[in-house]
Amino acid sequence: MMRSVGFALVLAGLCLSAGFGARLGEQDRLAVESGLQAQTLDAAQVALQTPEGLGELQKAELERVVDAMPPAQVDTPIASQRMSDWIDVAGPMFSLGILLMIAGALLARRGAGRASGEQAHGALGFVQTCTRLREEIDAMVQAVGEGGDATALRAQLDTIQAELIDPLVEERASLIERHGLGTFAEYFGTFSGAERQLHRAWSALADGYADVALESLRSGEVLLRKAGDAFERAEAAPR
Amino acid sequence: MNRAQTETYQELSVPAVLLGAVTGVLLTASFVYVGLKLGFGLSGSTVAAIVGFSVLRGALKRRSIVENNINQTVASGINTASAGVTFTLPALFLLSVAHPELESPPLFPLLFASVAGSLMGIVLIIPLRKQMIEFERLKFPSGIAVGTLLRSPGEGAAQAKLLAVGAGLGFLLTIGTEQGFLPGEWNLGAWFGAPAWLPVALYVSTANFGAGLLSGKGGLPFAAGGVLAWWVVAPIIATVGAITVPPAVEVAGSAMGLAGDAMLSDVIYGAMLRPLGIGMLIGGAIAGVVAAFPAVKAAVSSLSAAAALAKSGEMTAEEVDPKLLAYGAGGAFVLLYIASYFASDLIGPMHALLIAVVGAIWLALAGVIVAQATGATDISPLSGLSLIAVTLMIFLTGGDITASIILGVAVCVAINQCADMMSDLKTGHLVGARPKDQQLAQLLLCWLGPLVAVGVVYLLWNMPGDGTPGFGPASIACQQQLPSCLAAPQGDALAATVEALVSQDAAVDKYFAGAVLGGALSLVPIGGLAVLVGLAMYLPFSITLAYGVGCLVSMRIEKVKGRAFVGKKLVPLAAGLIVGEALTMLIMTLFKVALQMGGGAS
Repeated sequence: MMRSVGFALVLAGLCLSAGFGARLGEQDRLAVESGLQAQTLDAAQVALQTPEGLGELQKAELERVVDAMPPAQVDTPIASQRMSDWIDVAGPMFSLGILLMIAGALLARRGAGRASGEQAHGALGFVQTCTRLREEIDAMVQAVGEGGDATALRAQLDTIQAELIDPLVEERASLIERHGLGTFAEYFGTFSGAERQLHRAWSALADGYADVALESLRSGEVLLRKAGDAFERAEAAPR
Repeated sequence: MNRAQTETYQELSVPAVLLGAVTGVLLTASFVYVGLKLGFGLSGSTVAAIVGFSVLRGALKRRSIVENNINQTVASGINTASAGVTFTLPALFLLSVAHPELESPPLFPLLFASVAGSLMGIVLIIPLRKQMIEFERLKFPSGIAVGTLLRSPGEGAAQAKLLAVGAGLGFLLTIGTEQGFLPGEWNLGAWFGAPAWLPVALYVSTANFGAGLLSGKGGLPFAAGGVLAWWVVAPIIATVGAITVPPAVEVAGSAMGLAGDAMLSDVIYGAMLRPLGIGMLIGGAIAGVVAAFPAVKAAVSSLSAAAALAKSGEMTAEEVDPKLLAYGAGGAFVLLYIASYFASDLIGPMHALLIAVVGAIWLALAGVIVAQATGATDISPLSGLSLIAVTLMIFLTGGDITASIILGVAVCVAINQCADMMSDLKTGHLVGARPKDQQLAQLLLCWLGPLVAVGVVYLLWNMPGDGTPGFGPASIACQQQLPSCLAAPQGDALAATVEALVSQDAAVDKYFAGAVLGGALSLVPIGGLAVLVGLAMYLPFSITLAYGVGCLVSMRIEKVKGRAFVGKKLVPLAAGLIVGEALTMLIMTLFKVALQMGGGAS
């Protein structure tokens, strides 16, 4: 609930501040309109010099409008005037929008923090996934050692990626909320290193280098053990 | 199954680095030429990966996915300089035609600046690898596409077929739009008479749609930002009359076939939303860097700890030593300082120091912005950030155009390097490459791309040999509308903008408002939200909307078919869409240039 309210406030604030942030100060607006007029005048003069594409009526109308068009005379304001003009036309509403966004973001953060505190799903998932991955790797190390079918082993690595690693990767937001970015980085970086070792094993199997695949699988297993240990230390640390 | 008991699994090898260097140099020279001719850059990663298949796996019979990854990392690292140099440097040459007092751009400061940018971009972004790829899990759709391509020899036939089907669709749709058989944009709003300031249009690009498919739910904030900009803010501005098209202008426009609401839409985009978006990108990036500080600190600590363990022999080093990064950053800063000092006679030693410090800070910030934007959407706000770099330098150098553009080259090369390095590291993560090897390979040859790109621009400028310009509207070839005309449209646009900047025409109020908005939005507990919303405001809505449709389709498929289906079927298909469009554009561009050189179609 708190999270939804927070996001609603962010959205309202974003619309308000983006709308007013995009507005032009008075002098700038006149300069932009004047610039548009100058561009159109240039284009019209080019069109009148090569009037094949224009009908008689269009040509006459264009000549009439060009003759009547006042010269574009508004200069672009200098930076300081641009800023003060913009603050005059948009400052208060833009600021209100920013305040709404900040309030909403803080609420959304609190809501997300509570949700991760209530659900230890990501945390449990990390421990279970590391354990399952190590079991799978142990079995694969044995299969590679016995000269198992490389295609089947690569398919098994693809399945591990899709069914075990990817779902845990999706949980990283709740893990960050739970431990903070610095602590998360310590164990998740090690976990990602293990993931890369599994990808290396896949490549080595595809290229026919079973000993490299074996070495990579074993390195992956070691890194997973380290990631699990680092995670347990993070869980044990006071929050 | 095992060929390895006697062979080493090759990764950072001499053949891979050499092949990458040769491919990179050839691509750089070609892409600089293409950039000057047609005005856009191309990506070299997919081409390099395919060349790697033919040479490393085919001719040399070497079987290593991670070795081919080094080849593509080196080639794209070199080639990425072409975009940075082609966008900025030609402006200096073109301005020297209208302002003879600028004379010929000084070569050595320019080379120092471009190499400094290349080196600094790499060393500053490497410590953020863990943050962006492992913690934030940014998608880098092109990185995934190249990773899928590299893994294709080991994928099953079904995945290879899907990759080919995607590439085929990309080929057909790109040919269709480029040749005019299909519209470049499906303007659905026009079918039911919606005004131009309430657009409902889809940009027709399989790469854009494929990037949306790969991003899925994570890309939705980007689409939401576009909806906010174009379905909330723009209609309010238009209906309350916050800006209007003067009646005389509307009548004149109507006589020339220009609708008033289309002109109004252009003004809302160019004068309001786009600069506000640039401001949001800046504010969002600053707040994002501050918020990510604990993770970056932990990542840097882990780099140091890993380096210590590697030294003691307990484990293999997976990342470059932080000391090397520090030396690299120091060296790049010295080069930037030398470039600032020698860029103009009017710049003294302390002034040069100030320019180098501010330049380095902006370069780092812009690099983070571009890496994040590319990581989330595959779209880079390069032009806007480079313009701000040049604006900043014009301010710092007191209006010295030569010095400003020379330092603009450094920034532009650097921010491209940041995005490329991170995208390559994403590819590396997917194929299980050692980040250290990729980082060393890119660092080793970071000087080569800028030298080739700057050299080719100089060569082309001096090509006539009689003192007349070699490219740009004032060149004899362009004035006589010869096939060899190099119009240099990007440089021409930047030159016009620089002249406007010298007259102080910068939207500071919008940058300020956007930065505050971006900072506030960064408090929301959704990673990278401000950068994504800012990028959506910065871009035309048709791109954002088509990308958002890709995200929604991906989410729907995942819901109905499950996550495994997405990994096995959707990812190779989407990667094929990206690879197909990239390769088709490259082939068509080279074909078009060849035709023009031969005096054929213009």
